Amino acid sequence: MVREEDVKLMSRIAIYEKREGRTEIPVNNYYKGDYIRWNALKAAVSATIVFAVVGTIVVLYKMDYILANVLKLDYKRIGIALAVIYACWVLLYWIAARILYAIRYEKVRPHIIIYNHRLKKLLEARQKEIVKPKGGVVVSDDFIDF
Amino acid sequence: MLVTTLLTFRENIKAFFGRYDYVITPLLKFLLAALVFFMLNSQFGRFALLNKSWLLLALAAVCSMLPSEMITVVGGGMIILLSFPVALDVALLSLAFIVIFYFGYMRFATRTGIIVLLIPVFYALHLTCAIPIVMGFMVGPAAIVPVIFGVILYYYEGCIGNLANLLAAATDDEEAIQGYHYIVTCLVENKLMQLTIVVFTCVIVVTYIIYRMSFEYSWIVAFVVGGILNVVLFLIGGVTMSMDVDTGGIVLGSLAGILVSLVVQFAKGIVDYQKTELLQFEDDEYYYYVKAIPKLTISESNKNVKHINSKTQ
Repeated sequence: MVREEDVKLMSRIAIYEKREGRTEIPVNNYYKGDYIRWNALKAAVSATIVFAVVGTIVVLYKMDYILANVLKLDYKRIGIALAVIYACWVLLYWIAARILYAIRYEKVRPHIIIYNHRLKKLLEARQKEIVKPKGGVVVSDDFIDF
Repeated sequence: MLVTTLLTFRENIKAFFGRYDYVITPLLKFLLAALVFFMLNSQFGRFALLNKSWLLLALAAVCSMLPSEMITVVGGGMIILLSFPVALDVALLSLAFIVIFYFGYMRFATRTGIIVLLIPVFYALHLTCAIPIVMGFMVGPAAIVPVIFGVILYYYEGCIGNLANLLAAATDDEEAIQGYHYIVTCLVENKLMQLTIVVFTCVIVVTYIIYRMSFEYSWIVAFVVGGILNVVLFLIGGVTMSMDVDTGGIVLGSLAGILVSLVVQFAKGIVDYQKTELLQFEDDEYYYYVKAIPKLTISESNKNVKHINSKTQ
């Protein structure tokens, strides 16, 4: 039997899963702290890649100068300067990612709560439907464990 | 009366979009993708395979059925492909540009990545100065990075065009032109590009801040201040950096930006300041001072309701 309430619930759940849920549901797999740390780490890796690519472009652009002064360059000073710039760059990304993903997690949480609530309501409705007319049909474990 | 007519028109459009969403969304994506791809192709336009219109239309058709981020991905791939015929090192530079943008920005905000490819479109439509005002209120500070990359992309395309002409005109006796070095120098020494980046960043931030303020008609003030700031900063920059800036173009572009912003804001929804509610309440921890302004909508009587399921029995 088609139950209008169930169809409405399922439609809303499906719409969410198709749209925002695509990116938001995976967030629910993490605790807030883990989610932020994991994404901040990924941001640091991205920052390193960007730094390496930009560094390569600059080195190639200045290649003539570098080759002309290869014996005169103060490599220790250049190394320290590069390390400091790299550290600042990664730190900037790290902090930005922490703020961004903390905001994103808080934004997603209410949607996930509503989504879970709808799933729970749907499950309860299905359980009632199964148990009532037949009088004690066993609901499988797979159905409960979502 | 005019406002009511406009509101009715807006509601009708909204209803139409809502009813035919399944057709209109892919169609809009197709148009956007086609616009971006044709624009890229016309700017570079040296890769024979991509010069075929049907191929670009087919690509746009595929993108219309995929998430909108795919337009950016395909556009990025096209930039690399279109750079190949100029020189291999230029293609590698394009690849580096895409990698920097992807890892530096798009990984964190995939949806706004398309802005990069839209900036050259704005340039082609002579709406350059409209960019920061529109982006400032529609996207906010998150638009700064893609707008900067978009401006660089526009001038990058120009540099590649110049390089291709130089390479075509060069004879074997002349010293070989280093494409990579030429392009980077062209970008680094481009004062107008640097000025544009600084001005756009300032205007985006100022427009966004004013737009978010709670005083009455803050949105109109934001657009007007953004437009004026655009003109003033370009003029100051032009004088201090000893450059010729197209004052008329900047003024007209800023006016166009204000107009476009007003239209978009109207579509988003305007508010009725006369019905502002000022509320105050408290709980154990806080006092709340709430200012609630209703959105301007047409009343039910102005809607043309057609009953399709009325009971006649």
